[in-house]
Amino acid sequence: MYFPASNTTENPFKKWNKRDVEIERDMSKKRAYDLKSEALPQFGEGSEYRAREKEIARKMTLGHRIQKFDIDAQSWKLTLSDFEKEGKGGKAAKKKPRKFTGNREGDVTQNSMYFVMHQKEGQIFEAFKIEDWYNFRPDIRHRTLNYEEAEAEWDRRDQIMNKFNLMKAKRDGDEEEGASKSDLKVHQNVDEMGFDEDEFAANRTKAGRGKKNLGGKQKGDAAFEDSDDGDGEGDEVDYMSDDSSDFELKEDDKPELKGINEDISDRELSESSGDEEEEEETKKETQEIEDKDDPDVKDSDIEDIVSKSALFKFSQNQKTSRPNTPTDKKRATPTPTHSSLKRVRDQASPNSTSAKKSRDSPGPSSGGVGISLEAVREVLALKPLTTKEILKKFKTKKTGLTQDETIERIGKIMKALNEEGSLVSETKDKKKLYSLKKT
Amino acid sequence: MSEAGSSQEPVQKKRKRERDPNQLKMNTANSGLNWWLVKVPKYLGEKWLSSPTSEVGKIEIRRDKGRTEVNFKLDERLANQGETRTPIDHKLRLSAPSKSETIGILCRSKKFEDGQEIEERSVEGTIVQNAVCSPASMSCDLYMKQKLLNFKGPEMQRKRAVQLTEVPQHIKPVNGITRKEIQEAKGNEKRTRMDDNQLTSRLLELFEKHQYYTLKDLCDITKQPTAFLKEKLKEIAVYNSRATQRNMWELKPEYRNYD
Repeated sequence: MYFPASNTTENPFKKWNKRDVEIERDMSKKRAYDLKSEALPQFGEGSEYRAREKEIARKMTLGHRIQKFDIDAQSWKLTLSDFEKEGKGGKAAKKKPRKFTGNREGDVTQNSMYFVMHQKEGQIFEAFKIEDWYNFRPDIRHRTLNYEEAEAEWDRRDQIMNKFNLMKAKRDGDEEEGASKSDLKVHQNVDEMGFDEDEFAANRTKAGRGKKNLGGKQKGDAAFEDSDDGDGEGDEVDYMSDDSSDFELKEDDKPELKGINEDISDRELSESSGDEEEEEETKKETQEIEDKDDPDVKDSDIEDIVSKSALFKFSQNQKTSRPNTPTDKKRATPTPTHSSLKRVRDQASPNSTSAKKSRDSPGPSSGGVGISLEAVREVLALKPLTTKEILKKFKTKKTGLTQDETIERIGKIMKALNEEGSLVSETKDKKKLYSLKKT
Repeated sequence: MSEAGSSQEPVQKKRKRERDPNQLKMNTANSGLNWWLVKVPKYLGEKWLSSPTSEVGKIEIRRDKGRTEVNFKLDERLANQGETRTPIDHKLRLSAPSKSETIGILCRSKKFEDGQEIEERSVEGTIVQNAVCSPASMSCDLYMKQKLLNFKGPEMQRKRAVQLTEVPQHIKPVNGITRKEIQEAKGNEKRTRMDDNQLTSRLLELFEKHQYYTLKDLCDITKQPTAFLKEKLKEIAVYNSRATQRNMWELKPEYRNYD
């Protein structure tokens, strides 16, 4: 066995008797040699008549050569644990075992032979013939790019100046990801504080287990820098667990799962609608809502205001569920949204409809509020939209209506608007865009 | 019989990953030993391997003013044994092994365990010294003889006369075979219908041996007309259209009793 030289001058094999060394033949190619029929029983139940002969004949007609699997022709797989047994305790720092693959190297030995000789006691040399040479090389342990990543890096190969620290940047990225995960965990723990006693007690054990796992993981990361694909897969389950029965808490977690596209489109919307400049971030949310309300105030009755407050609260609720605001902002100020929610609920309580109720069981009135002439007009006033985009604005989740009902309602409203003569349609990129006539 | 049960399922179970049947654990008891790696001429190696006794010669190590000289003397009887005579005196030129890699010795030995022969692997140490063995002096005559044998050896093995014990059968190509002749050669006698009960018992007998048959095979075995046999099969057997045993017949579950 050829082995790459270790950096110490010492003989690497001398330490092997203190280590766990496992060696086996690589059997991964065996399946290619095996006949399928050999796995079946020869006689009795499950056997086919002349299965083996038929399979061989079939393979021969396809031009295969029937060969037997030779275990001695396969390469070696060597596993060398770095952990050294120290006396009886054997409690040394346990590292990942090192793995080697030994491939056979052919040497033409037409005129010579190789022997190994060894001097025994009594001045006797023992000689043994060498049959094969194997070259052992360590298997790689570092992280490599997968196909998608490699493709992405190849696309921007001209932009990368320093190709040496490319992988280091990747590795750092991995670590950061791990860090953010742990942050998330802490956040969840804080949330759990608000649970009922029983629920909390039930969840505590779960959370505790999760935490323990996380600790182990971190320790592991510190020991070896390189991380494999799918390292974090086990942890993901902890975050996905749906232990929070509280509506608001769920909402808090959701925005991070949504796409960016929606985010951008909504932001554009808000910016185009805003007459005044918004500077402070914290103010932004409330202002947005005011802006939206503004056009309505002109033509709506005072009676509507009560229902409007419901709408207002409604939209705010949606705000938490949809990524209207970038997630960073949310993280920076998690408490304001919470308090505003509370405020909204307080406002709504005299109306005897809580946020949940209006969502869960939308009466005819609340449905009308969701999709009204005003609401559609409001949406169309901002910018020209296709019918699809209009439908998107009134998601079934929010209004509590079915898809068909929504389409029907919007269709009626659009007809009404058309009859009014305020609707303008234009075609752009083969799409029909609707907007309101400017007065 | 659990295996057969699984084969009936539409989704066949994924085959287990193959593992080396031999002992995984490596024997590292002798990993501290030091060895010499010696390159020897082929004739010498062959002499060593063909030696009837365990002793093949003598090694002489002489240290002289910081230089080490190693000589090897082949056993005289062994040298004169066999087809060719070989030189007796040999010289070993020593050299340090490569520093870029270390060479270990992996030993495979057979041993019996639970009535099965398994292979045990062990590490026997490292190479600490390289040596090349060559004859100290070789007469021209001896050298030429050896070379001659070198060339002739493989050739002689390739062309060997073997005495035949029986007359070999030759099949010669024939010109102009008609379709009729092919049919006759295959056996074109008209297939007659068997007695109903007789055929049933025959089929049951066959299905005892194997679970699955194709219709064509059954026709050939029982020598029955296809239509007749198919009629009979529909009574007692079912036709598989699923992937694993496709286009094959097996007995209906009520007739089946394998154990």
